[in-house]
Amino acid sequence: MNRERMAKEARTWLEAEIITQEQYQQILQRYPEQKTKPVLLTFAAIFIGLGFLTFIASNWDLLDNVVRLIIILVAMASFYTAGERVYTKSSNIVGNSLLVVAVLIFGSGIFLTGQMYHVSSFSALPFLIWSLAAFAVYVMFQNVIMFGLVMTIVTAGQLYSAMTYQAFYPWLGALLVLGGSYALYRHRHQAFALIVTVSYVVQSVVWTFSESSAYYWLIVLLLLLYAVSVWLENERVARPMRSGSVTAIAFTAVIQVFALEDGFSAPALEDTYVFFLVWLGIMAGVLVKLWKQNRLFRGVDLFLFVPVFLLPWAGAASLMLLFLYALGWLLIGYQQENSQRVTKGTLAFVVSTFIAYIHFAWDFLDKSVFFFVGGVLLFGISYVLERKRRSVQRGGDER
Amino acid sequence: MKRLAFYFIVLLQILFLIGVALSYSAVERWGETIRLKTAPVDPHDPFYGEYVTLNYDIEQLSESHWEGADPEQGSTVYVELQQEDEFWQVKRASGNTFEPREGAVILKGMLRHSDRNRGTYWVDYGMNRFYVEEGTGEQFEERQSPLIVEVGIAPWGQKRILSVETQE
Repeated sequence: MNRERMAKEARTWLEAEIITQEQYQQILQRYPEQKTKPVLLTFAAIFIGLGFLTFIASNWDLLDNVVRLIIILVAMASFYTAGERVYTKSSNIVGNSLLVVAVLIFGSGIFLTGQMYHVSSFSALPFLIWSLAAFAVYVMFQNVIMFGLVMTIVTAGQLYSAMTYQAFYPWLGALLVLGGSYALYRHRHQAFALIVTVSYVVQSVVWTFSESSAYYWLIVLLLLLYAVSVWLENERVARPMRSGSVTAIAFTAVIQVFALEDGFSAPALEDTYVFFLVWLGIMAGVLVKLWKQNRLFRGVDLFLFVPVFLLPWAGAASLMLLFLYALGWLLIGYQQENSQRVTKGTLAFVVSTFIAYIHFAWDFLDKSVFFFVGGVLLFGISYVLERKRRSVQRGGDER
Repeated sequence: MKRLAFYFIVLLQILFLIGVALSYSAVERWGETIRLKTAPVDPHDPFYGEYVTLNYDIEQLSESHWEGADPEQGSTVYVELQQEDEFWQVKRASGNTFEPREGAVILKGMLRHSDRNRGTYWVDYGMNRFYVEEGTGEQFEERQSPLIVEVGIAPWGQKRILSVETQE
């Protein structure tokens, strides 16, 4: 609950004389005022930086190359200097946004020198140099916005590599893993974890489609992210990773529903041995770890990671996985009386149902049978759950 | 101390940009100039802007050019060029460095693709883009005629496009 709502609520308790003035103050102190996030300033900085980048990309002929280079150098040096001064002397937020501009100008400087001499590189090397410079600045000032900028450059570079060279650039992948580990070690904070997760998912997709011969390796990469989230003890860091990998694999499952149906030629079994071996290894590790942590119920997430592409009805099997995931969380949510988990299950269920409905590979009669059976099952389950809940309430005398 | 380190990082970035610019501009002064034939098309890059793609005759090599072991795709290769009439043509190529013959130059490139059955190899020299002001690339494309590219090659191996002209 946020401070404002809490304050309002506590005020009514105070007026009703449920709590004393002293207790009111104590309650408020438990909800520290959140620092305002410098959203506008950051956007301002990004806009100025993008101005420089697009100015260079326009290759405006009226200005000589040397003049342009001098403009870039002077602007970069001034923004860095001003940024450092302001950061240490007056305002972290303003200083940081000046530094963001400076880092973006350095990037446009890299592209300018390439453009001046018509150099086309063989790889995303310019982005590596750019992101290393940004990372050095991040190490100096240690804040989430600069880290976000580093990972944005890394991720953009990887996408650029995919589009321009149809290749995954391993050094940017390495910077994500090493730089991300370093940052998460320094700051056990969810914003950092979220940034790392997004870049990891994007780079996994790039790797899968430009380097690996088969789409299903994406399952292993996302499972690996899930495994990392299980191993990390810190929930603030683990949670974004878990949600990120589950969201990405759910998307993959939805795509599988449609893509694995018509015209998909399943790979030969012997080509997939390595994949299944790796998959099984990680899966077993995750399950054992969850069991040791007494959180085996989380295993419901793992339904989504089951590879179904070898089955004859792979698309429908993938849809079943989505339903198993949804039903799993619904059941757990009701059983633990955890409304968040019920909501998650409900949402997944609605989405899965919608996909089942629009899935064109079935005839209407098949669909009709499917929905009838599903509906009857759900009535049955809800009856059992409701009876159980009532018996718990009566017997346990909890509320 | 920390402040010093910061300004060191900034200085590195400035020196990097100046260094890249200076080394390429030095190619024109101290390098040898060669002329090559190409045909243009005109795409975009989100960071570098509009450019004209140049496809060189010297990019396509045949089996007879290679000396030593067959290089792998994606590896660095060295190609020797020598002047024939107006233009420079491929003489030999190898996966290892070698001394050029009298009057010849060595271009460093990457083996992009090889077709062993047909005995053809495509080498990427990293000179396929000629950046132009936005909105001007189409002029090159419309001309249809081959382009002549002047390339400068420095003694230390760095190379760059000096000029692009249409053939008279």
